[in-house]
Amino acid sequence: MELRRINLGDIKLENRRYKFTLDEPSRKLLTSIRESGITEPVKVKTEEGGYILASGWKRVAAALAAGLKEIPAQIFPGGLTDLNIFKLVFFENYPQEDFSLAEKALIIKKFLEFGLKSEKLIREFLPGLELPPERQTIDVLNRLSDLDWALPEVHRGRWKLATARLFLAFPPEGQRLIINLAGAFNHNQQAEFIDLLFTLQQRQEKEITAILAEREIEPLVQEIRGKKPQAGDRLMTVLRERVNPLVNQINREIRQKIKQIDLPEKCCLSYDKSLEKTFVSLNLMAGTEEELVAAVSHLSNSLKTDQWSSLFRLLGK
Amino acid sequence: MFWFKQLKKIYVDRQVKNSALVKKILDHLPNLPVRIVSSLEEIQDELRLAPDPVSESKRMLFLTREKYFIRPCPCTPGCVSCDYWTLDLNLNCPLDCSYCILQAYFNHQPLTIAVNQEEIKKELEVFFSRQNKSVIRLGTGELGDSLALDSLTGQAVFLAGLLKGRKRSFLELKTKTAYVEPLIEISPSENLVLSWSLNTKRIINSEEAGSASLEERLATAARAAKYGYKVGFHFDPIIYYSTWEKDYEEVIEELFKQVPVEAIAWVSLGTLRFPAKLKEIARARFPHSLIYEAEFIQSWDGKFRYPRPVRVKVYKRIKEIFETHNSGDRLYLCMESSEVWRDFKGQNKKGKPEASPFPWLI
Ligand code: SF4
Repeated sequence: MELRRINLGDIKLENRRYKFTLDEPSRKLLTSIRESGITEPVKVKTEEGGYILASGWKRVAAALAAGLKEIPAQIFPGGLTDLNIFKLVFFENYPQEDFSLAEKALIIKKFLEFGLKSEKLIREFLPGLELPPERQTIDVLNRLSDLDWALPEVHRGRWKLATARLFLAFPPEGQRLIINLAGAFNHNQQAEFIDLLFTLQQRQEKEITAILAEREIEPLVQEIRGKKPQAGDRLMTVLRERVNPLVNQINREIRQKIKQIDLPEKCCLSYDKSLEKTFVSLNLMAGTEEELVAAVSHLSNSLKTDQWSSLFRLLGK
Repeated sequence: MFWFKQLKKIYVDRQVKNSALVKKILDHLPNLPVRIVSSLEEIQDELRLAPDPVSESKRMLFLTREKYFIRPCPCTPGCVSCDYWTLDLNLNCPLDCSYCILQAYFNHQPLTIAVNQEEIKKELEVFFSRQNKSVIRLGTGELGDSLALDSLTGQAVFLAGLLKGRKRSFLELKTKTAYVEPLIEISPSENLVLSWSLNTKRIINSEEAGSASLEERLATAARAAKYGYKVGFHFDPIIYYSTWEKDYEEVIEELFKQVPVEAIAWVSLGTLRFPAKLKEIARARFPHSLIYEAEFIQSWDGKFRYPRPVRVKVYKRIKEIFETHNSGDRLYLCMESSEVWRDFKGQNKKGKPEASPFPWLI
């Protein structure tokens, strides 16, 4: 491969044929390239009097941000097919990168576009990408990769295959809404958010647009759009209560009961919030024998009230 | 049988290609392409390429041999175990229930028949010689319907023969079909229990593709009971939905109209439970099913279950209905925690749970 310094302006960045990574350059990379330029050459292919970038997207973005004019590049020899180049680029990244599902979707899409047979993809590439080696995986990820507007959020949220599969079961309008709101949730919450919405949609036989427009929910959606802090958490609480009304109701009653119990200082009471176990556990801290005696006698006095029995009744409900 | 029509191909393990049972099965299905294979992987490679590998796996028949047949029923950690042994001659099932755990349990497993059933004799001898329990229960319905493949394999009569004379060792054949013909032609063994999974008409119609109707199941159970077999019933999975109470009551009333209490060996109750993986698969395979969209908690074993108050309410109500037919003592719970058992069984006067929760121990 020929090594050359090339003009940044000669790279046709709008041609993203080989691009499958979605991370932006880190602050460290930006600083490093601003201070000492690109030390590791990017890889390009010559085409129609310019260059198509094959690998080094973050480095090029950082170089542009640093105002560089020229960068070192390795030029792929002519005669290499798109599939050859993409394989080289893929394997160059493979050892260092922990690809997100969105990136894996792009990898699969590009391999297929460049003519790799799906059987080969299933057998030889999916296991290495830690994906179930079956056609279904390809079908799901291929459909996902078509939604390029959704990929940055899928990437940021580190979605799992199961979440993507469920997301694709929503109608297009629902998918747009989910992606619009997803920024308000952390990784784990995103998967749960989609799951809760799916359940409500099926249960109520309503589109999610209608569910999110309901009186109790719509103001929270607006709060998320207005980027109010913790708005995502509040929406999640409402959705959880909708999907799990019984458990939430009993838990509320239990929490209320616990508040009414006169517990000794430095004593903490916990119970199984899934309501499977019917016992409570008490964590009592005492630094001296006297403190312990005082705490136990405090506890036994509180046992004379009927708050404990009503707590156990609730737990055993 | 309906499912013969859905079969697309037969694979024969090279090791068993000369077996008499293979020949019999191939004669039975003369129009299907047959391929001799050296390993299961060859079939799995094909299944991986199917758009829906679970559905496809039910269309491929694999005739092979198994090394071992008997295993302790895995139950689930933290549950009150009912001490059951599974006897697996077949893997996978031609029926297609939306809640079937096999969808998540198997990894590209075709409909598999172990044709070396003769070898089970020796394993059974060793198994019985090691058992010291007063009652031993074995069943074939763990990894597929016990009778769905029987018209091809003749396993039911074969196994009945092997268990004959072994008092207090029960063999259970669990099914959702109405196929008991071969068993009605032999003299009934008292330790062979023919069991039917029962559900409400609504659930059978919407969630149990390929199974016999409730009427057919009950009529067949009544026929078997009349012929002299002990019968069992499994209300499993019980699905909690708006009209569950009325619908299950209807099933139970219908059951007692047709089957005498004396013929019933046991009745198990188990509400819907499933691992997350199954929900993912089943939601995609059964987009119209609503059973995965109820209120669930994730319990101690990682499985999703209805909240305990719901389960207890359902079990208690079903128990009440059975008690009106003097048959509450036939009931036991499947894969339930000790808390739920305690609420279900109640306490005796000394505050201890009632002894012998399992009907076959009474
Ligand atoms: S009959 Fe049993 S084994 Fe067969 S599909 Fe239904 S649940 Fe699964």
